[in-house]
Amino acid sequence: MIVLEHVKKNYQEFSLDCSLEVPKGCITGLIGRNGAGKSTTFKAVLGLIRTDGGKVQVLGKPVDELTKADREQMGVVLSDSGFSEYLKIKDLIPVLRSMYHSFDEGGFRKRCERLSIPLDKKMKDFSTGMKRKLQIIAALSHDARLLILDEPTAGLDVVTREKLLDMLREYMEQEERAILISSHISTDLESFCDDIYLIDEGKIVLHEDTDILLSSYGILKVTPEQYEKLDKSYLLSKKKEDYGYRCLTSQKRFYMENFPDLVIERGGIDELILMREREEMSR
Amino acid sequence: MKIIINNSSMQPIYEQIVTQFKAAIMKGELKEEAMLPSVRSLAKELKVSALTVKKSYDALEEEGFVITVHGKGSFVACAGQELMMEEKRKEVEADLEKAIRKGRSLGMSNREITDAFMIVLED
Amino acid sequence: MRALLIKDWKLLANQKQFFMVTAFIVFVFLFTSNNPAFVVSYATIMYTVFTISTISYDEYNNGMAFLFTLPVSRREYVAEKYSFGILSAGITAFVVLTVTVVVSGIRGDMIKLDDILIAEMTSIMIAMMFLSFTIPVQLKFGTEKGRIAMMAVSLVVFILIWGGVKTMKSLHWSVGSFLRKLDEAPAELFVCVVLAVCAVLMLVSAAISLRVLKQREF
Repeated sequence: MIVLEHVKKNYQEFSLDCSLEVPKGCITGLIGRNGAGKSTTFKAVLGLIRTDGGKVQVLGKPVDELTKADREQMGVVLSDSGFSEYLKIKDLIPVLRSMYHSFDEGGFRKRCERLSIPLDKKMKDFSTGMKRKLQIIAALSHDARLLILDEPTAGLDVVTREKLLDMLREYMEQEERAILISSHISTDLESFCDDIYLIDEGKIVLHEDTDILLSSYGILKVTPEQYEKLDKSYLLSKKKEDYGYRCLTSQKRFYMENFPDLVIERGGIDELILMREREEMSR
Repeated sequence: MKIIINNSSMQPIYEQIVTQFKAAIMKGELKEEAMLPSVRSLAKELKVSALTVKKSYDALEEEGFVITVHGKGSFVACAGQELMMEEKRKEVEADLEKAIRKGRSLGMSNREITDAFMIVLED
Repeated sequence: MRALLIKDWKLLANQKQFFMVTAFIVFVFLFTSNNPAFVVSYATIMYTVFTISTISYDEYNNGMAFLFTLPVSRREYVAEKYSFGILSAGITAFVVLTVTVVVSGIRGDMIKLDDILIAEMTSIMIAMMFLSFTIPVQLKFGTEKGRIAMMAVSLVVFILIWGGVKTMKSLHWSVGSFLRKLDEAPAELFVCVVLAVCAVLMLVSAAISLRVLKQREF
């Protein structure tokens, strides 16, 4: 439902060159450090910025050909922008009703109640958490086919995050929907996404199924002696530590079976990002 | 039946799912032709990726425990009973093999091992 | 566009203080002054100008970025702002007219309908011209820079008018006789011409606004 092919955008201090794809029925995650290019990628997908090259296709069309009807099929949450904040929710409801043919007012009100969002307060007086909750509920309220969520759970406590992720999982139970989500919170993505793209300095550096990431990727902690004897064919990177080396592998099984004495840890998204960061630091 | 995933285990999640489903089918907790939960709803319940669940369903189908009908869902295969017996038989053989190996490592001859076996059998 | 109109209407409705105060002033003037025309103009212009603040509200906290991810095209957004302006002017004019008539009736005054109507029309057109200048400026420069830009634009307009008058003087055209000629021209023709100029101005302004908005990145 989303196809980005070598989408380029040049800013003064930063250049984007990104390719990714979100197929139907899929939850795709985008993760990276601050300034890595997540928001820029999202803006390109949403048509908020012009690109300097490459192809941006959403719902099967080039993004600048999206019609109002197409946009009604999309639900969006941005990290730094939202509904006109001088409005109250009860003011917003008629606006949404008029904007979306499939707006489910009853469902929307119920969810607001469930998450304790006041209908009678100006949105600019909401806490960050409450603003986010509202944005997500609004995105879910009109039977969208595609959700594009830029850090939707940032700033929320773990209980609320789980509630919202559950709402999104429920949303996906209907066929032919898709979600593109970005986040800093790796555990959220690991328990939610089907596949994950890691972006760094404007480029995609890793794309893997979450399943494989969690089961096959691992961190080896070895002494220098152990490192010498190690079969390095499946090591992706290494970093010097006090005890010796810390290595990333995508074939945890191989090392578990052949070198049973080694300390091997689970390789999650955080570990991947940290390994990259440490590599840079050591250069 | 409830599936419980251990996120900290070194065993891949899809394997855990497969193992638990197999056990449930063999124990008879899941009857023949019972429908498995949809991929997305199980993914939601277990808080894992849908691809993981799909992988486990595919594995179950490959081993004959489950049949997937496109558009309808996944169902426990009727052949479950036989497979169950097969699995149990394999387990028994594996245990016997263990005992035999142990006996041999202690220096027992085949005759002695067989004698020991008969004694236990008659009890 | 309906959704946008509802949104801006709600924003307006929420600014109760602004409304109450202005309405209060209007009432006071209506009862105390002998010049209902002025009051009518004041009210019409005040309420129409609110349109420009809806753009500020939209921009608050970077809200515009999100707005354009919704089913809202930039063309629609521009069209709605001008429509909102026209509607505000129209509704205000009508309401104030009615109130003026009623109040004049209560006071037992003679209702000089002609004067009032001309004042209404003039204020609507002034309001529209004001919007034609300010909307593109606001869209291009945003709220803070917009204010500075507005002052610059006003200065330029002032200079143009001043320069125009000076030129006319130097060409020995009397400004006085020019205005007298205008006065003598049949009212309907005059009104039509002004209306046409106003309409053209607004269309040009809308086209510029659309271009500005299309250029903008969020």
